[in-house]
Amino acid sequence: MARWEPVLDEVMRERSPRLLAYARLLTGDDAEAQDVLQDALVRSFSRGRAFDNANVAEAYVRRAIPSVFIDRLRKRKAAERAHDKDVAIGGRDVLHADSDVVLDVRAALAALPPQERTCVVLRFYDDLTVPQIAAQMRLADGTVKRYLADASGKLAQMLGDDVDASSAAAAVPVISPAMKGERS
Amino acid sequence: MSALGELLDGAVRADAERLTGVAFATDRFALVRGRVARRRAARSAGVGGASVLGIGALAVGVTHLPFASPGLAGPGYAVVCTTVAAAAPTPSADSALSVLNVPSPSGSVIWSIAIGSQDPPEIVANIALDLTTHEVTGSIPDGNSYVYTSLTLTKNADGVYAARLPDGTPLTFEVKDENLVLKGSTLEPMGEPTVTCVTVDPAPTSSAVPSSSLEPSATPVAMSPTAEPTTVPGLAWSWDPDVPAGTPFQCDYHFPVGEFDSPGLTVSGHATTQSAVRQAFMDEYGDQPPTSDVADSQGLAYAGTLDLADPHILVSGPNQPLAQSGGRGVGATFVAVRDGVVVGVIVPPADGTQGIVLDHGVAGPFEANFWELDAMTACGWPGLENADIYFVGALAEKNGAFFYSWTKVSE
Repeated sequence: MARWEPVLDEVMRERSPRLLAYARLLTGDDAEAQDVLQDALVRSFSRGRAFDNANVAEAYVRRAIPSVFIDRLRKRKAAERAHDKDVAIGGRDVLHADSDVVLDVRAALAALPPQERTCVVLRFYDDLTVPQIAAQMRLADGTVKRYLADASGKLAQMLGDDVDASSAAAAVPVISPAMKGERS
Repeated sequence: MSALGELLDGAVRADAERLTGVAFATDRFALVRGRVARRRAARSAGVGGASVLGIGALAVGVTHLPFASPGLAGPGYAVVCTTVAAAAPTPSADSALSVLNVPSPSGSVIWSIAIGSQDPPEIVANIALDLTTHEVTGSIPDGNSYVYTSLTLTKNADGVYAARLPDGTPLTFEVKDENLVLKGSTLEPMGEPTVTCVTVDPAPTSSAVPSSSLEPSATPVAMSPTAEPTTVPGLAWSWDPDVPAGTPFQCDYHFPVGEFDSPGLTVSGHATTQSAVRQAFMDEYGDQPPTSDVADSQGLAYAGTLDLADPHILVSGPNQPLAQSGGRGVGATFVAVRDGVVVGVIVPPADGTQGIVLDHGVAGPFEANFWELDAMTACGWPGLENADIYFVGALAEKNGAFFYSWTKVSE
């Protein structure tokens, strides 16, 4: 058995619940989270790194998850992206039907466009800075700031008093351009 | 952590308690392990330079070298490798093979060999038939990358072609009336090959360009697979401090001089922006991949060019069929270099673009662009800090020797 195989086995058996949960923050869907984690595992272990233990491997895999998710998004067809928009609109209806704040934050995340969702997770869950997010997502800093500002506004609107979304907006002091259809 | 961060953490904790790793591992471990093994093996053979290097044209991944030409004389940094297949059968799940027809340029037929039932299919080899010469050649792709390695084919008296994939699995097929027929429905892994290389370097010189009068000195370098003695080719572990690196494509390779052009192969390059790369792609390919793979940003990117002295090795246009069985080919990559030593290499990822395109342009020299800096994998501690980026070109000759040229492209 190759040296990496026991580490892979340990990561998949013992670390995958948290990795899957992290992937699910991005995907909003269990099945897609599994696909994303699978690709992240392949990507991380294929690069020939000599992982000494599962902790190191888990960190690499976790870092690969947003990149894999973004890569998958970029490959999607326009029709699938349109479907995402439909899901997002539907998600807002679900929000206020459940009072559980965790469920609400999941639903609120799901209502965000994928790029904004990824920025939010990297910023507020992983505590990455804007330049770090930009590097990981291969975006310009300004683009990340715009995504975060837009997302913060939407989250504040959707989550209301359940979360202090204003703090999120304050962390990204940029002026967001008006969304289409909102300009007076 | 912000209030929102705490909520997100709560959501992850709740999901982690709900989800089970055992089910995920049971369902997917074999699949993940198989994909990792194949890609590690392909990388060890392709990126490591153990096989003839080939550059894929964008659509079909093969390149036409239409004319035979004399080998290039003179010293260079050459590596000659021999591969010995291991025999350790290990059954693999989900190993059914299928043949896919892919768009082929006129004068050729190209098939992709796919394994398993994934969607999109996982391509393990490409086979090309030149309808003019009736020559059959093979190449090994890596994910959706544009870098291809030649696949050595042997043909027996019955007309059956045989090849061994980088992970040691055999592939046999026949080509009849422009159809490819597999001889067997599954791949049975036979263990991974071991690779032994002999490096031939010119004598050390203070000149940036060694003179042609230098006598090459042969230095055998045993690429022993110390890390994983039974399964992994030595080239895959070049960053192991106990294993010397064999080629400029690999971790730990020590560049004897800062800039070098082998006879017949001149390289040049420079730092640029992703917007410039995107515009160059746009001019050639329009608003489609690879153009759409590059962000229109001022992010850092690098460009390199391979100029070959032998005009016959230049392709006449994109998407020409492969004729690599003669052994000639060119390849290129970008590496991170600190203190003259390779400290980072580009490893093709599991899927998707890797942020590097090697292309031959429409009527000019081979060109390379690299913009996804995250694709550069550090060879080890202390990572890529303060490293320069070098563009490295390789010319493979019929006798199995490789000649390398390199130049610094970072500012």
